[in-house]
Amino acid sequence: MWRYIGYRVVLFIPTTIAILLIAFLLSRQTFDVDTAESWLIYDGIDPNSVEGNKAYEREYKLQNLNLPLFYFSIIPAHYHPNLNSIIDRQDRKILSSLQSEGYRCEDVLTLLEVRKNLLSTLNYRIIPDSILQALNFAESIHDFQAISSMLNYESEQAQTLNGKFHKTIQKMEERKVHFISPSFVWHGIKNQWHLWSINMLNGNMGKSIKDGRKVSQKIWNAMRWTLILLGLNLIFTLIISIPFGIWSGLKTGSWFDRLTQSFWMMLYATPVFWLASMLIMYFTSDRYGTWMDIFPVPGLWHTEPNQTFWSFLKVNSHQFILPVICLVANDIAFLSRVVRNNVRENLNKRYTKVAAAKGLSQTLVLVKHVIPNVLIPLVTIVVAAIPAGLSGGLIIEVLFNIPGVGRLMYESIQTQDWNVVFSILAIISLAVTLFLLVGDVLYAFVNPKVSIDE
Amino acid sequence: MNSWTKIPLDVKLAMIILLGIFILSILAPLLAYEVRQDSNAIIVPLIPYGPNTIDVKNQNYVGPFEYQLVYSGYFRHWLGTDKLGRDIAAQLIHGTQTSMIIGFLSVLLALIPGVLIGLIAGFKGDKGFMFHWVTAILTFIFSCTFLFYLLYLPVDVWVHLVLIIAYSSAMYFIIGQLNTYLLNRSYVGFHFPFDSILMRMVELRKSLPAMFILLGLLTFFSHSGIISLTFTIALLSWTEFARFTRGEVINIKKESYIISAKTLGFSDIRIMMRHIFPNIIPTIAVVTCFAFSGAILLESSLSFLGIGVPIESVSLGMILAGGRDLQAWWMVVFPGIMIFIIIFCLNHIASYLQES
Amino acid sequence: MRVKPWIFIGILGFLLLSCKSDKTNLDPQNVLDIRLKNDPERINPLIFPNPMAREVYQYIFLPLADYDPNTLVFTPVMIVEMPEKIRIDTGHYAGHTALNVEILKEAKWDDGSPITGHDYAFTIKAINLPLTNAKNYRQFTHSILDVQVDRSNPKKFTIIVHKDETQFLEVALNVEVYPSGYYDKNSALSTLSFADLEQDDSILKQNDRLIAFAETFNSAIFSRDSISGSGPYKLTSWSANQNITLHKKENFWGSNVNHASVIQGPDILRFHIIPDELLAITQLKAGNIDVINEVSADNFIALKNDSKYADNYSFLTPSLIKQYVINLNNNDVILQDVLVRKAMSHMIDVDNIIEVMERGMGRRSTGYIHPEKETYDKALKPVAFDLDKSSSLLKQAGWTDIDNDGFLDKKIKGKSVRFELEILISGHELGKKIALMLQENAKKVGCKINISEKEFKMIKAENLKTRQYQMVPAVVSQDIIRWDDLSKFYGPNDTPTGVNDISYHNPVVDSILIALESPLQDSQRLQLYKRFQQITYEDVPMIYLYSPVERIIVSKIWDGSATLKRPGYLANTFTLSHLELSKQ
Repeated sequence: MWRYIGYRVVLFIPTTIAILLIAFLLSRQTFDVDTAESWLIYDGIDPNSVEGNKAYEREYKLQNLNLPLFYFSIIPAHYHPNLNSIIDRQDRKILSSLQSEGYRCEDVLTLLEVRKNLLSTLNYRIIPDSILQALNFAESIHDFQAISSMLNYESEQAQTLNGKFHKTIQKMEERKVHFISPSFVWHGIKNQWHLWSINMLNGNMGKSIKDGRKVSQKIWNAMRWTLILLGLNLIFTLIISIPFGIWSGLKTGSWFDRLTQSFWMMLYATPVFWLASMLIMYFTSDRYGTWMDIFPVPGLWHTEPNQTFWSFLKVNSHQFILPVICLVANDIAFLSRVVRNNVRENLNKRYTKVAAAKGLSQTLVLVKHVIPNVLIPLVTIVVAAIPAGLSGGLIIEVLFNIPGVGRLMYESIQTQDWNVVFSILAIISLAVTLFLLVGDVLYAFVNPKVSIDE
Repeated sequence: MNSWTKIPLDVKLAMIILLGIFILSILAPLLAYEVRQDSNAIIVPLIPYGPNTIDVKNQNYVGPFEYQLVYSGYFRHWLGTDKLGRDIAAQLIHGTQTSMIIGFLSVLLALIPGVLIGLIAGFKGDKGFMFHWVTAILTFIFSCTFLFYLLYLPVDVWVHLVLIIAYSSAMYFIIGQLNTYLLNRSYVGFHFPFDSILMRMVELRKSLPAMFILLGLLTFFSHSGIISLTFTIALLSWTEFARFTRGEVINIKKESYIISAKTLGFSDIRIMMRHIFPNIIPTIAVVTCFAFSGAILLESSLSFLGIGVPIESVSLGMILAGGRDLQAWWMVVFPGIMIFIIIFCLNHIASYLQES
Repeated sequence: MRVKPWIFIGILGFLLLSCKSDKTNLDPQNVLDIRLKNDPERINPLIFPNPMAREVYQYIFLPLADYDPNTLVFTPVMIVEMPEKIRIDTGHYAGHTALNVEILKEAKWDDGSPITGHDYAFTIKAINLPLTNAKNYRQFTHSILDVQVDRSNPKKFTIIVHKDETQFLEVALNVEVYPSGYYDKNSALSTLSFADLEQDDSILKQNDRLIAFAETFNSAIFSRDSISGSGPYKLTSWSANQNITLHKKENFWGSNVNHASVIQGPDILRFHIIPDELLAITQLKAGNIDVINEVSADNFIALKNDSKYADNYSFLTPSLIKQYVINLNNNDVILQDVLVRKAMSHMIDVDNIIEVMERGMGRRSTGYIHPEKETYDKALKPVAFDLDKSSSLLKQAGWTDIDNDGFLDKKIKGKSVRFELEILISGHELGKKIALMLQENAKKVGCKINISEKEFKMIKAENLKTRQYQMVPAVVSQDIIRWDDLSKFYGPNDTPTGVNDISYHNPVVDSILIALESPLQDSQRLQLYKRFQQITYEDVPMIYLYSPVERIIVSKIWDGSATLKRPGYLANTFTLSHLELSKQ
């Protein structure tokens, strides 16, 4: 048993790393596009302004976006060793597309430099708008070639620079790489993944772009709600599904069994959001008949100043009725079925038959032998159902205006508050893994025969 | 397997309904497309509107029983219209098609790798693959270069792709031969823990809440689309296939006929395909049914939240979301019933298969 | 086993029945419950002048002068009278404008200290300090050169504004004043002069006190936890994503001031954050919410026509100074032809969109200037929906169906180009619907429209900024100010950091905009604005759709009126109606 527990605990480490890695990779994919810019908007700066460019550079460095992604990289030899260190987004884009076409990164950098010089010397009084516009927004090699042919017969003032522009493009073409050879670049620990994961493990998840609060604080505030919802959901599901499951298991095939099982199946087949919408629409007001005014209207949280969380919950407890009903309706089917099948299996086992043969009453057999054997494995099943419960909770939180993690996640995705989104992703997954670990360890105590192979 | 006559009536009914819905969704483009009022076409569809046809005369939610400004009874909107004046019946048919496509493709994408991996893991276990240390190093280096060229050679030149794949399969074959040769000479090798790695992945997937992961993964795609949605759902559900297949294979492996087949010296592939695979089909069928209904539910939940399917293609969840704000019951009830029927039938069949 | 199945059913039924709604009226009287669509995130108008936050902070912070919500005239709030414009002839600031301002004697902060010129100077310094995040305001207030407080009477002070500033009154006076003693407890800014602010960033960054001040000022502390202003209400509680409560201040100084922003109405203003409209409407019907704004047209009309509920509410529809447009890329291969752009504008049935999306509550616009403005050119007629016209325009532009695939083609620079445009939309409901309707109409003319969905921030960063787009529907939010900023149409602004993201180039417009920079008579200016509208009407650099109205539903328990100023109502002017009072 101890060996099993030790094995589980050791396995927790690679799982943690894998989860963090997934969250990190996903976050970089989006970060690369607009984190720095989002922070500008947070700072009250219009990204489309001259000041915006300066501030973009500052934010970009502040967010460590200029560092390489990982400890090392394997890239073609003619590539830039660290593309992230190019701060200007347009330059980065041009460089990345041109080097993938086989142009050497040094050459592309010279071209970008020349272009910058050209743009600062030329202005719309010297050359026509259209050329300036093209130069400003040129991206592909064809654009650049077209501009260099256009520039040729324009004003004399920029003639020397034009010549340089021309030459650079020619040189680029000459030095184009035709065979790609790999090269290994070692970046060391100063990379985004290292810094990010260390911060994450220290609980330092940064600030929210939306309101400047600490991400950890935001998640904790929201987590309380989700945990309450999850707890209520589990409790009510168990309260309902265990007796129904046991009864169905005892009388498999009876009208009661068939009726309840198909009823739960129907509830399971009803989409949660559909059920929720229907309940809100028709059963919270007397619009369609007085008898239909069954539930309190959800979505409003009464808070008084200086209220503790628990007294707040007491006042607002009725707000949980509808969401919990929707969640429970979906989960009963699964759990009651598990209980039912377990009861049936146990009834067919030898020890129950022996016990019955010994003259024990049916109730006693049930209470002493069957129920414990049914309920103990339920621990793992209930723990394993937590991720599903969280998933179901997300949509319920959005629909019923519950400020839990799910709604936070949903709203943060909508406002592209990526710091929050991927922190939630990592934390929720880690928490669930931890839960599963605890569940497994508990199960090992209850059932010491469990082995690694299982 | 039971023959058709042994199947109880309710399961038969569920199968027939599902088949009907399946045919409906396949025929969607023929059942509902736009017909002009002045057209003289002889073959006309069931519903003379496409899913995005805007009927300017019947905008702003016209109900099925309300007065409709239509040319003739044929052009009536039998299930009402939505805000823009699009026909709900046409949307329902095309939305079912979208849901079916997503369900079908994601199950297919998850099933093939899932079952294959589960089969191998269950049959071979942790001790099935032995590597000589020389070949292990060779494989590692070669895999790295293979991935490198796959990533950095311009793939739009398809010759590159074919070359890479042909070359690498040849290389892997050579390495494989080398491995057997080396192992025959000396037993300095180690086992590749295929099964354990799979189980770790299964565990990892089990600990991730699907909805959160899905939302996170979908941010990976800059454009929302059916393909990306299908792909993400498949990514989340292949482990289920692998897990159940593996469990079933481990059970079957202990049966006497497999052991005798092994002693007879049949090749592993033959045993897996001929003897094991037919026996795990019922299990796969159960998982398939659940995965299918799960995919449809996920898709409709996501479209309901406004994430996932692009707006040009209709989906059941989108119709639902459109009708929720206003109390246009026809936009809530019909797609809701459609989702309900699909999922109920699938689950019913699955639970029947599970019991038998 | 004698357990009866109906016992379980009974328990279940009991559980269900026990949920009967307990509509406990927790409210004391005179509480106005308002629905907010989103959390306002930060309440610090200087660094976060966001419209959602404005709905809350306008009751907490007051500027020196503001637009009157009814007459839209710029009137004093905390000052004795509107200052005169005085030209300085001598000294350091020769040529610039001086404004002599006196703050009302009774005006005081929450701690009883008077509101003085020092507070105003602090506010302006806090904005102009490059270390704070108040960049939105800074682009206007950088033209405030100095604030000189009278030594004998700190309520009197002189504001010196740069001579080129045309909107000097608004710039100087329409700034929310912060209590310097509260936000700057260490007096980091009091020793700093305005000349110091002009220094290079790097010098200011060496001053630790300034850095400490800026960091606190920017942080969540001063935009969530401790907030203090001179307004009639104070923030008492804020639970993120749930609700915000404002209480009426006791012994408020402003009882004699004649301005709507200073009025004290309901005892408590309570904002409930409910993003989902279905829930919000249900709450409104249940009587838990009194005011709800930004209602969708459908729900608005549905409630208005609902005989059971309509009598309980007043339905307000003030205009909004904003417009919906479709940005066109004027440099695109297909769209650079004026005829094509014109044809596109004829393809959109704007009247139908207004009818469907806004249920008729919207006003067509003909140009960049909002129809409510006096500079608006009424002579221009909105573009009609006319598919035949767009067909003939496209034919005139050389587009014909060469390969008979149902879509138009044209030879451009030797290559055959198909009439295929991409419209980029974000999650906004209106954009989606417009795109779908345009797609259907364009198909009839032979144009293929592809719809791509993307986050608006991404569209801005990846497409608008790099001009890699063809069409993008957008909202143009404008201010009540008299002379709109037109730099979006200035050719040389067509750079990656410039505002001309439609790549519009017209030498005549450029010359008009240059002329507008110089000091002009109002009538001349008006002429130029009209001329600008005529040209941009003909050129169709973007497709102008319409300007919407705000839709607000207010419970009849309250008497309240609408205003053109955002958010369309002022909760502090609401009073309990006589009907309700007589009941008590």
